[in-house]
Amino acid sequence: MVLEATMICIDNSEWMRNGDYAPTRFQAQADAVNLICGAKTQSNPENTVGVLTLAGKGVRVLVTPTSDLGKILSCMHGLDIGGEMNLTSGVQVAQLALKHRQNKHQRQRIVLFAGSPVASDKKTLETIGKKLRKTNIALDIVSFGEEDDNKSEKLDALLSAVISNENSHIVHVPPGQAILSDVLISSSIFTGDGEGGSGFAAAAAAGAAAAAAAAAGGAGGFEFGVDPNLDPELALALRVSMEEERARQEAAAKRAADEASKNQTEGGESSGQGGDVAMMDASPVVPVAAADKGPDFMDEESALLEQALKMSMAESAAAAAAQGAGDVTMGDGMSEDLALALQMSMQEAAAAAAAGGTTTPASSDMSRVLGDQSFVSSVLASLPGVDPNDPSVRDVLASFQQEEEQRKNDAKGKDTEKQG
Amino acid sequence: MSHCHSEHHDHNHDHGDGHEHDHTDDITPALQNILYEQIDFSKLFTLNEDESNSGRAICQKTWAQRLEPEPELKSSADEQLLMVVPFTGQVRLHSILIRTSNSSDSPKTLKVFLNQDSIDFETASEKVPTQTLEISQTNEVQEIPVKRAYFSTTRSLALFFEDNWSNGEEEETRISYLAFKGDFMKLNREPVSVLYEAAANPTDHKTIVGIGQGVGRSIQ
Repeated sequence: MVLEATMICIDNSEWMRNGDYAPTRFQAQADAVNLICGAKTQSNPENTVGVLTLAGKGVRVLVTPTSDLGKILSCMHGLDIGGEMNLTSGVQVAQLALKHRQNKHQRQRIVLFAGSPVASDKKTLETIGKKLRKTNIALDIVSFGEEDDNKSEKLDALLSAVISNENSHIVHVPPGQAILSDVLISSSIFTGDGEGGSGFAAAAAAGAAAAAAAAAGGAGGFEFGVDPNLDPELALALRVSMEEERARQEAAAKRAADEASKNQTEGGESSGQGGDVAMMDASPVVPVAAADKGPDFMDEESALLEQALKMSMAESAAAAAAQGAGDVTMGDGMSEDLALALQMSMQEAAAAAAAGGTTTPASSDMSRVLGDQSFVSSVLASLPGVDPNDPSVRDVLASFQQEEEQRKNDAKGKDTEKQG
Repeated sequence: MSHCHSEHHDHNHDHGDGHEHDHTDDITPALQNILYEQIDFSKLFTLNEDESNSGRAICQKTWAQRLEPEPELKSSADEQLLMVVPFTGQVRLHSILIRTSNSSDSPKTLKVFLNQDSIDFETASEKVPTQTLEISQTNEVQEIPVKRAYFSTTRSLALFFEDNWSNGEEEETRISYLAFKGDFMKLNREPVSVLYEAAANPTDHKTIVGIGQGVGRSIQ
């Protein structure tokens, strides 16, 4: 929450037409500028930001340091690309603009976007750096775009001349997949902002990470799409929520198993529905893996997913088998209602087991329960119009037994297949 | 004593010695005018210092610590230094005490500006200083008297050490101790008494001679 006046120096030279940063270098730069302005004004309401262009017809101050974000954003519109960047006079003009800031208690900072090759030599840059250090101006350099021979060397020399008490930073953004704004968010330019700035950065990083996870299917480089080194609080929060969800699901599964053994038709009304998993990458991953029928991730957070997968595999296979078996073995002479009721209860049991089960015990409980003849016959006896001693009913019961065996074998087969 | 002929504020009359002085130096009556508690250290800042807050540190040295070599103020990018010393009240500055060294990195010219809170190097180089002082190249504590007439209403001092004794050779300037002597007057920044009215009540005010009850009355 440092009170600061910032001058942002934009490179609008011809080199910015290049498309190696999406969509063009200039557009990526404009987005980054908007981001920085937002972060600065948010971290302290009294912060002021000004903008000047380094190229074009010459160094021109677009807006003097102001806390009005709208003014700053609107001045970025209609900017023309052209000319060559003049770094030395740009920095001098920025120095002058900061000298005449309205609130003399604000610290002074310059953010320099260096996209084109640096024409000045190292000595000149070091002199500039010393002058900035003498007047206590901090400098943040964003080096992107052209990567000619000495550019990073020169800019590093400039930084070491300016830096005093770690107040200045440099970020090199190589062209490629990385979006300029995203790289900046996680860089020291933002994390050096203080609590306010890093709150903004964390929120933006969470948004970026979610987008990245959705795009890459959660198989990004980092565990939760967020580098623990760059944003430890966010990574920790995600990890904690993962653990909590896992614990909740296990408790729910246990409850489901208890409930299932108590009432068969109601089955697992467990809250641990597979779709309820609150993790970012869980839901996209589960359907993807289900389609593949053989996911191979061994990450710790996917162990749970794999288990859930096996379950749904087993359930769907068992349900299919149960359906088929149920249809085939419905004996004749059975009243249609009874047959229908039995079939429905079979379906329900299978469906309930599939939905509620995060553990195979649930389904096997169901099977065991149905296989228990005395229990089933007692249930049937309570149904109106059914005589348990009816031979057709006995046939059905026997077929249930067979189904259970078949289903168990199928499930076991799938399991071994999976583990193999 | 002509303390307040030009001031319009409430203040205490600090008549000479005895009020704000370092009690440990009763043996040195010359130190009774030293200004230590009157310096607002939190608002003291130095430009172009190598180590952050080293300028404040050398002013925070007490008289007893004046000969200690550490901490020391060293310049950073070049040999110039600019220090702004605000006081908590109003000061009649008598003299500046400084201790440097007898080497070539001791400062030579000191330009003093009166009551310039936000000054920078460019302004300090161009503006005419309130007074320019010459610092000797010696290891002892120097007391440099100032023209008291110029500094009778000092609220802050800007000290611009423009060059050192190396004639441009040495890029670093080093100062070891800095202190000030003078009379102090506590400034009361609150208003004396305030009466707010939405509209004037004529009966509260003395009648102005020449104006009667209404408009256009004959002038008495």
